[in-house]
Amino acid sequence: MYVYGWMIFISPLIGFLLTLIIGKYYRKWSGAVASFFIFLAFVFSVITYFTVIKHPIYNHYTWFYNIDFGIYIDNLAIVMAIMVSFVSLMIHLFAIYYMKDDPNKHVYFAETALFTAGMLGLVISSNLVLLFLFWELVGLCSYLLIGFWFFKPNATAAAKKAFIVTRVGDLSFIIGMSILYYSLINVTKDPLSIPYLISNASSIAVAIGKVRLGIIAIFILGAAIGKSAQFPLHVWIPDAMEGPTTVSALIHAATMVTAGVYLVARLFQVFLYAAPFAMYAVAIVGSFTALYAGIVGLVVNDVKRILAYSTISQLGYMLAAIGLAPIIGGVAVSLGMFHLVSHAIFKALLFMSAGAFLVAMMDLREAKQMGGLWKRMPITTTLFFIGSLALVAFPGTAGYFSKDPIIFASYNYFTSSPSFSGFLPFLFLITGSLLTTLYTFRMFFLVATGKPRSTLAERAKDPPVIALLPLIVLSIFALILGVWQAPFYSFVKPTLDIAHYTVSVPTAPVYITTLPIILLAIGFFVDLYIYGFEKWKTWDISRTWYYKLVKNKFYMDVLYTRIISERVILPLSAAFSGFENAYNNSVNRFGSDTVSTGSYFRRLQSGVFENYVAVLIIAAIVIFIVIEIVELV
Amino acid sequence: MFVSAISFVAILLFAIGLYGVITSRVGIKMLISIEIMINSAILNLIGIGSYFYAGSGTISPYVFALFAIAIGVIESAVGLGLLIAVYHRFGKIDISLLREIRW
Repeated sequence: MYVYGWMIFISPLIGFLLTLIIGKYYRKWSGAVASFFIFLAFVFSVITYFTVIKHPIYNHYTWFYNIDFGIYIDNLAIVMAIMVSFVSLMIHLFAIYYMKDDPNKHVYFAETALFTAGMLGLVISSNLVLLFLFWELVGLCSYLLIGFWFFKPNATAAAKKAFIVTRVGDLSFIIGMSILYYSLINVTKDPLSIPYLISNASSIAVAIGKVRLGIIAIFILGAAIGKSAQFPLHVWIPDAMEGPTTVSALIHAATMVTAGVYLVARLFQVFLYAAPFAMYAVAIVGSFTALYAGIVGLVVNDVKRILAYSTISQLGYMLAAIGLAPIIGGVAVSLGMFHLVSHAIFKALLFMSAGAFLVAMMDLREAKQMGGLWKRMPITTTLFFIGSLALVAFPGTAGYFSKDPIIFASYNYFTSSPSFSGFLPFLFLITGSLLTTLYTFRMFFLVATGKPRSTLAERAKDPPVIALLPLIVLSIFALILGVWQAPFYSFVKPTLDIAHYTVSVPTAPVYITTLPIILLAIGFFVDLYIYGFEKWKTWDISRTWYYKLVKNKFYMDVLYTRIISERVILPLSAAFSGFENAYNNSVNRFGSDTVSTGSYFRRLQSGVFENYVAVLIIAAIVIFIVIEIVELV
Repeated sequence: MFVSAISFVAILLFAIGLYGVITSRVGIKMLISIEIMINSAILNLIGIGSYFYAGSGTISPYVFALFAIAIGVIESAVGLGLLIAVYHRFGKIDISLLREIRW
């Protein structure tokens, strides 16, 4: 029943239009309308699930020349579609409360519905070109929503930054796609169709060469880096916190940043059969980002920005998991996707409870001015605590079942290729898990314990329980999602050759399996000492070089603005505008020269009638004489 | 001899017309002179046609002549229209009044 598959992304698209139209006249119903259509998408995803477990859906029509448009829904895509529509539904329901006083909320809900539609279309599209269109739609919606409160100068700047930085990744996507197209145009009739690419990856590698396929994979990884905010292109995400908090939740959990990881998981076979450097690049980019964002997250004071850095870090775990595939086999995709799903759930929970804090405290975001919220907002803070536990992979929560297997898998990766390059992912990921604990509990203790450090925090109150219902649903999933670990792993397995086919939970020696828990305990007690008992107030490390280095995010923003844009882009654009001016001048000069030449010849038009007649007669005589001479000769 | 007689009359008419155009300053007289020049050309055309194509059954010279007569009529209509406009503007038809029509 492929019609239901199409409806997965068509229903939020209809929701987008109807929310705009209905919301224009009945402002207060806009949230309900958008939520209803997201709910429809969720229902259609679940219906499609029961078809997909029998066989994948592939329904496609010719778009132009040899590019198809259509839907391809296999196990990977349906899991993603269910997750996206479910988390997006929860966020929409909470946004009805969060955005209740906004005068433009029908625009907000229309845009979030379009955002969800774009992401669902991206997930189920059957062709890379179609996927790219939805990829751009998602980017556009993120731009619109980050800049939703456009009267804040920070918000418009952040929206532009997000748009421009992700464009770099999109350029990489286009380049990779173009190379792939021209490599395959003589090999097959539909070179960019996803089912073809993933089922024939090994023969493609033979046909066009492993190295060239590896280069294509690197470009596609570049696209994922831009969208999923990995190391060199992560700079847009912390600034994107200027939008409404529910938008941050949507971007971080469901719709935007997971697209990059999904793209790599989608084209997993292409990466796997390419030259080994492609997969290693995935692993190293992911694991390094996990470490880097964890370090920066330690010194950020804005609650939402801490969560943003934790998102970057967790996305690094997902990519790293997929990058471990050459050793641990097809289960790599299952590991990454399971962490993606559980991260979506607990990160949506964390963001929305942070949103509840922000509503209660009139958009105060400095963690150091909060404090003591556990007594004043008990329900919200408990939900926040559950989210934090899942984030630090506390045993029993969703994060424990999704993140620790990635660390074990990286240990297996190290043992089967014992070298420095094989050791790096394990080192980065295990250090990253300690850092995760440190920044999460730092944030939690600053927010929840101690005495209130501002009057706003003193007067904070819980929102009504009905508004928190979506959060409660998510917190239940954040606690019990680990139950589905093994079924999930075998469900999301990619189709591969026998040689690469292993689907099981990675195992490791006891001293490795307990190591994350030991680090969790260490991090917890360090944070309890520093932030739980408020020792940080007597410390002053703000003048030390390492604090400045980390506080300035290792000068990545400075690198982009001061060096790349001012030293490279500006001179280039000056040179191009010089060319443009020269061309403009040449066009203008042609016109002005024609006019000035005319100013000499127009004096012949004297207006004296006798002159005209005289010229006429003389000309006639001259013409006759010339004709006579020609005839004589 | 017949042809040269007709041609002679045509050249004479043409010279008269040309003289009228050069010497007169009143628009109507100039228009009449131009009409005389056109008709001399038509006369010449018919004379030459009746000499060279006599008995061959071809009618091209006469068709050309009719065509030229029609064009001459149209041209004199346009010219009269212009002159009436000039008369409305200035109250008289002196061609030197049109010196403003220039660059």
